[in-house]
Amino acid sequence: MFDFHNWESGFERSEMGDTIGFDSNGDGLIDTYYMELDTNQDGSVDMIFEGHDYNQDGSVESQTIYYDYDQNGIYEEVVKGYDSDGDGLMDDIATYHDFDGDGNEDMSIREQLLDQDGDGQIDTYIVNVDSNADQVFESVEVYDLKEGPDTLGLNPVMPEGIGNLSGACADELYNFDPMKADLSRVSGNPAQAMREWEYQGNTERCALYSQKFVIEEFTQNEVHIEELAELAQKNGWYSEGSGTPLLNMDKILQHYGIQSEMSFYNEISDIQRCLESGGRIIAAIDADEIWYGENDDLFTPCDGANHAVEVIGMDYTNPDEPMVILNDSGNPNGCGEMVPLDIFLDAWEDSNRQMVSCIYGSK
Amino acid sequence: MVRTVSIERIKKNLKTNGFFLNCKIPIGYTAGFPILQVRNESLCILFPYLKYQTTGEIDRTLVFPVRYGILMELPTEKIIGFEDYEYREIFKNIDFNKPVGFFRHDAVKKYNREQYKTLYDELMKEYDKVINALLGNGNYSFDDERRMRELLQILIEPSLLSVYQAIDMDFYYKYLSKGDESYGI
Repeated sequence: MFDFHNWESGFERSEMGDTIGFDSNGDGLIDTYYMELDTNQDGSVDMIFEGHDYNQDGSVESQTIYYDYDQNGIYEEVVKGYDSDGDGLMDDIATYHDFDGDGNEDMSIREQLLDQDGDGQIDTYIVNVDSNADQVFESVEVYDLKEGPDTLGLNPVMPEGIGNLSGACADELYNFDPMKADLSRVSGNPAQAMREWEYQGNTERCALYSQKFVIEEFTQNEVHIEELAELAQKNGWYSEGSGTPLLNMDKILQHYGIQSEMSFYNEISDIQRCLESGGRIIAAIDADEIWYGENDDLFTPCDGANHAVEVIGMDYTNPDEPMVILNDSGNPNGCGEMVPLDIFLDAWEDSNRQMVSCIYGSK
Repeated sequence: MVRTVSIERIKKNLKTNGFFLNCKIPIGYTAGFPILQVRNESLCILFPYLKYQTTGEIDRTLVFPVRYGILMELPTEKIIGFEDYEYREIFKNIDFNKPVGFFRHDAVKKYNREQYKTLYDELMKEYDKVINALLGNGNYSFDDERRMRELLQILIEPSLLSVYQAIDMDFYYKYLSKGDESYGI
């Protein structure tokens, strides 16, 4: 089996033998490479590798590997990988399985390797599993790969160490499951939106991720977070380590041609109306109220919003307990995060009910 | 009739104030305990902005340095100044992205959410009293001043004191210093 986790993408082209190079964008430079391999040495090609080196640095930024073990022309496994930081390691990997050979996906797994403390070492491994190909991750697991208590690598200027910051939230929130919901009572298309969710790790990139989700949902094209961060920093919309001001929460959307409008003092009906008309919503909230609830001993003096999330749906399956569905990049389990409406309203109030409503194309 | 000033109302309104939004303070920064100042014989209030990062562990919420200041004239509530302290010489060695302390600090560890809020609300009322008295609308007694000092010294994170001292020496010695120094604004 090809070990995509440890595959070194910085290759010498002269050593690639059967590699075929293409100029995919017509700029005269080879940026896409294909390679066919016979991994079990039975004389037939059973694996095709496709890699992209758009910035011509000799390292592949993204790759797709197609496996056709029985050589019947249908891929049993497709692995897509992205190298987000250019270190030669694929750190964002999606694997699609077709177990019954009907050409359709039966299961998918998304894996992320993160360097949360920026020390150049991978310290967190996240696995999302969609076991029935319903486009919803049924399980999300977060592994701390670094020993020791200081998992976020934060360095307070006092002698005491900080405790085990696994990133897991104190309150157990559950995730939207379309199989259990009465979809006629659900606003928006949370199942589709959940496909775009990613965990931001220990970064200040919540507004960037929220915009990324919206862009990918509207355009159906993947955009990479590092590209967005670079774009936002270059234009002064975002600062690494500090974050994004409210007024800049839609700048990247506009850059991608998505119409957006920021407003305050909105009602929940405004969110619902936007979702039902095919729009998307990004809202600023006090995340602590959602993640940690009303724990009497866990609170801060903060009385403002501290986090941006995408609101991807409203679920009135149980009319007595309406839920707001979030794509929350700040919670490792934030894919389709279900939040009781009253708790969401309290958390939203801290931004004076600010939201960015987004419309794309003719919708 | 003189308009009554309310710190809590001002803080809430600030979040949607056009000038404030254009200061481009990132999401997550919140107003700390305000500093009273007199500038050109006008009463002003300076809102220091800082951020907290909840780690999920009790008493291990990270406190970051005061990064921004919003200066407002009273009672007009007109914003007359904004400063990013990263560019002030005295703060040149501070890494604003590194935490400087934890919340809850020792003086408030015995208070739960509700008890802390009760003290906080009481302190905000003391702010309202002194501001309105200075604007000629109400009284402010020696006991009020003593209580305001007491509450500030309980509630403010000790790790922020040096920044408060650097921002406004007068306010620091009047309300925050535990020594005997005390003189009027």
